[in-house]
Amino acid sequence: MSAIFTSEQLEIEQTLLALGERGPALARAGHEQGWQAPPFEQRLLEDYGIVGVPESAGGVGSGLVDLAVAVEALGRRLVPTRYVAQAAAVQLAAAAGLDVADAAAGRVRWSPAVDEPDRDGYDDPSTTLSGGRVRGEKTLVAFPEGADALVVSLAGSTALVSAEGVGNRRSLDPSRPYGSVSLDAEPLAAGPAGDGLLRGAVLVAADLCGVARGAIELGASYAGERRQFGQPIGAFQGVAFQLVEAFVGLKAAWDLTLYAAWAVNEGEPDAAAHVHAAKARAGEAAVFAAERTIQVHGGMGITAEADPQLYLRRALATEPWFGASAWHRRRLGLIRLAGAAA
Amino acid sequence: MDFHDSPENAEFRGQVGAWLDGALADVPSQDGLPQEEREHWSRLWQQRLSDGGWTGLSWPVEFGGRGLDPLSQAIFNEEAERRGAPYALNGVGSMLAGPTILAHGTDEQKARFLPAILESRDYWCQGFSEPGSGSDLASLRTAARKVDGGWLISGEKVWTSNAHNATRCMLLARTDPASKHEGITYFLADMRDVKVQPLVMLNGDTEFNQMFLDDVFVADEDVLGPVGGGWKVTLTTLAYERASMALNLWVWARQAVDRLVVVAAARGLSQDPAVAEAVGSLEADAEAVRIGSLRMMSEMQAGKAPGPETSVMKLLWAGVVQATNRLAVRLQGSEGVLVDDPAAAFRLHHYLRARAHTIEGGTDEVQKSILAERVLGLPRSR
Repeated sequence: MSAIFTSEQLEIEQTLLALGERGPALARAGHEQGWQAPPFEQRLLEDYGIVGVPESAGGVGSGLVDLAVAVEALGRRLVPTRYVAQAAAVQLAAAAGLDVADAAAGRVRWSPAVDEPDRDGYDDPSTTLSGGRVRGEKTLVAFPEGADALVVSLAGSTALVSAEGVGNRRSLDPSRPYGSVSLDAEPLAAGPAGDGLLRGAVLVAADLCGVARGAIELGASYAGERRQFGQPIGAFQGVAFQLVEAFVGLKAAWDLTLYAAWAVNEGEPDAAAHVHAAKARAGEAAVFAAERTIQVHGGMGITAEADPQLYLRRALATEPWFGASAWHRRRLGLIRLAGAAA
Repeated sequence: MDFHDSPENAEFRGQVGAWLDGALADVPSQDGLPQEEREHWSRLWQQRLSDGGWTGLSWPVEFGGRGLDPLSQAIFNEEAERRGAPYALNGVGSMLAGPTILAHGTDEQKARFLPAILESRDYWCQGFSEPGSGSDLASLRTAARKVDGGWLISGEKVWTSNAHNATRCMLLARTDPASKHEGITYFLADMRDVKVQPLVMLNGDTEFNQMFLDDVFVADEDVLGPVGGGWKVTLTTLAYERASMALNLWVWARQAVDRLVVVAAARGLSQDPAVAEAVGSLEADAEAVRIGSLRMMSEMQAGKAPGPETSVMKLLWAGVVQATNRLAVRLQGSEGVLVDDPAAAFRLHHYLRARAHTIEGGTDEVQKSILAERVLGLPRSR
């Protein structure tokens, strides 16, 4: 066992943190003017599109932990990139044996279509492929604008369909736009689902861990500067401990996410349970951290002008994507209660 | 990032398992045994570990250890707990006292104290906390007075686990009343003249004690580290205490969830959505303690000292075990509080014991202060 980051992973993290340095400002611009891709979008999709792609799908030996590290770093900076959606779509498609070469090279833009309006998780989709057509309702289709195709989860299989007909919805977080779609289309390609949903959910968990960490960093920085009663407010345990509790939740979520990414990558028999644990904890951690950061910012925290709300919107808007926390918690509990490995 | 056993780890795990299966053949389940019987098996188990060469796994070979890495100790603990092995009665000696003496002792001290730990001739306790000095340990007032050839120590210690079985004590006392941290000296005291009085805990057990010292003599050669340099030695012991948490806590968290799953099944609640959601939450936290511990051990293998993140594991573990035991009591409904039923009494015993988890080994508040300062970089808040 050697559960430490590789130097490549640390380099991915540092590079993307630097690249995304202006992330919060870019996210805010999306709130004010509607979502816009960051100026380095194409570079991200081209240079990092191959990260985490399985070798069976043309990858170069990089694993899901590498990809989780990349997604976490971008999430930490609130970068309004479609990268996480593109990566999740590529993972879904690769697991189904579809050709992902164009998407992994950033030549086409894909969005995953997983969640459904009448389902609270991803295990039992009502969208079907029969008679050569994909039919059903999908929602939380991220970054519909500019998407060339959707990677759609079906009962037991995955299909690639044209992105035509996706209607824009108003997302709580305009820098994380969503659409909904009523599908009745001939698939461009389809294959057995494999572990694609686990792969996608791990990435969303990593994204949420990033948001949690960014929120905690913002809160801790403010608590160290803002002074009341003659001292920085971070010297008061009532303030400091809120951020510490958020950090405890984040550390749990991030450890679970890294393990889940490893377990899925290695095809461990208990990978599904670990993905449920990671996604449940990451959603809770992100929302909790953002709420605490608002509280620590006091009066400024409840204004639109200050940044904490950007983290809260991103956290709350991302939490239900690829199955809400409550559903993942319940699924994990049922697995554990059934005596299965967890 | 690789969480798999290496081939060497796997081979070691196999050896450990084979030995444990034999050594545990006549040992009953410790669940629900009265304290006296548990301690009987703990003592016997400690002796078997010594006889089998399983103590001091990570100690250097030249001092009688096996020279293995921390992960090997973790593997041993996991396999032992998985089989319901008793708690080894001298964990304090092998996990805390021994490593501290290895780090700060003279050659003479190492030669004198270490074999007695490995062979289970000495049992150790940790004389740190006092009635007036809990979280603020460095305010301790037990006083050491210099006499010819040694020191006479007087004062009072409290929350001393296993003092009633101990022959030796890591004893902190003040050798200079004028300074705080620099006035503390670390003694390796004989327990012969220390008066030990059990503290009855809220579950009825007496694993903690008060200790009364009235001019207890400790020879000069039993001072560990320099006179007045005891705080630095203390920090070493506390670091090993944190590190040893990574080897144990997650296994205990898993056992607590295992017991809860059994209760839920017995109550016909294995499909209940509300119970499932609660269990899922607890299972996630228990797994987070395990994975965090594995990551921490990997960093230790790579040569890093255990960092402040250990406090996260302590907080998570205490919380998950408390909540798990609480839910196990509640799932039994009205029967859960009628302690004439042995099963209910057993769960309440665990529940009440778990209340100590957020206090012992550094309170939740101390852990949070550590994280606030050392991870979040916030100003000192006390």
